[in-house]
Amino acid sequence: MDTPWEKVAHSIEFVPVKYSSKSQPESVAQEMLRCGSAEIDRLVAAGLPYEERSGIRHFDPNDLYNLGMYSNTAKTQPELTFRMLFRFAGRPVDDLLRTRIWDFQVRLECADCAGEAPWRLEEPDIARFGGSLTDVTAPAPGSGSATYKATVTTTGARTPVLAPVLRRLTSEYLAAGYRWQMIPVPMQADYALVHELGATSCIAASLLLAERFRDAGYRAEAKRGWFCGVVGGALDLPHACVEVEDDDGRLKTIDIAKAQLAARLSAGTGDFQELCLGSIYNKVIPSTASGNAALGHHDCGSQTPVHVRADIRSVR
Amino acid sequence: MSEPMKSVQQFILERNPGLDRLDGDLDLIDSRAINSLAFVDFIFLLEELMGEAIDPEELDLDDFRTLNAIEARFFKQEAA
Repeated sequence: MDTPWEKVAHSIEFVPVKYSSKSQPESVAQEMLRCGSAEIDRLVAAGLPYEERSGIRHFDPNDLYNLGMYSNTAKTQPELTFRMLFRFAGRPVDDLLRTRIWDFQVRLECADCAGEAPWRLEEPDIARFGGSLTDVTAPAPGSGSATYKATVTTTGARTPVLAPVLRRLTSEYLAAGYRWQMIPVPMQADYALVHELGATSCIAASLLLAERFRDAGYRAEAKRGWFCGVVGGALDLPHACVEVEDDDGRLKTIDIAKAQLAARLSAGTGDFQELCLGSIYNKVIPSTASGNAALGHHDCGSQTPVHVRADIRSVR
Repeated sequence: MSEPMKSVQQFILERNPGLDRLDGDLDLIDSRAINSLAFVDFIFLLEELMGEAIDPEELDLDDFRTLNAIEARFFKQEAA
């Protein structure tokens, strides 16, 4: 069946020029979207931004991801990826509450390194939620790249949000109809813009919701972390949720974007969606980083952000 | 070579026109013969060939590192 690419293109928000990085050649676009150059021509005519370099069109990877995700073809790579990643959300939630152990490795790369200097990683911050961090090997000062290793134990707990105000604000956000999209991390920090476009993402959603909770008189902060079990570390997904102190004095996490995505991507995920609204589950490792902060730093003085790639494997 | 492993080999060769043959111990990850774009497709292919679902949480990149590793991890019974 002919994919209505024009309709798909009009259904998403392309990354604004200010935040766009057109790094992917047309060959990648064709592979991701399972289409040929004629269909790419149609997407370009429908507004898909591109840059031509050495005679080859290049696209922003987020735009390609969003086109694939909302193409409704069931064959693009983003659709297949998210279908696989969210299989867990339809399983019995008790599996998400048990203790699990993860072999946690993060590779830090300083692309424009200016020389030897200390590395800083916003470490797993799991003890607050009943987990533990052991066998830590933090990188020594160096240049270029480094690796942080640890064993992380996660666990779950049913601690649904109690405060009616917090539940109301969360429900209002979910009902507002924002559309989940893959968005560059620097743009996600501009959460007002993201929501003005009618879009949402985990970091942008968490920053906005945390602000609304604070406005309602609660202590709340968006925090970054890692989503575990993303296909052997082959894929990397940014993650963030809201941490808020509930009326019972306990710290609760609200994983608003995962609740939205699960509802969209996988049938029978009602229990998981409820778990996202206050409870702790064992597939997330919170970090010390706030919602829009970088996870890794190198003190060499380079202005280029450190590239951070996590490989989190379940210990068998 | 088993039928499933022939399909695996075909999948990789189709996506790597520069390769004319595959050795069982070629590092498919480091050589980029299976890149991150193709990774999920490859898992779905393995599921189809095995006739059962693969839990993405249980995957280890080393399971995909060579044809020999893939055969041992996913098609052990067929290989035996």
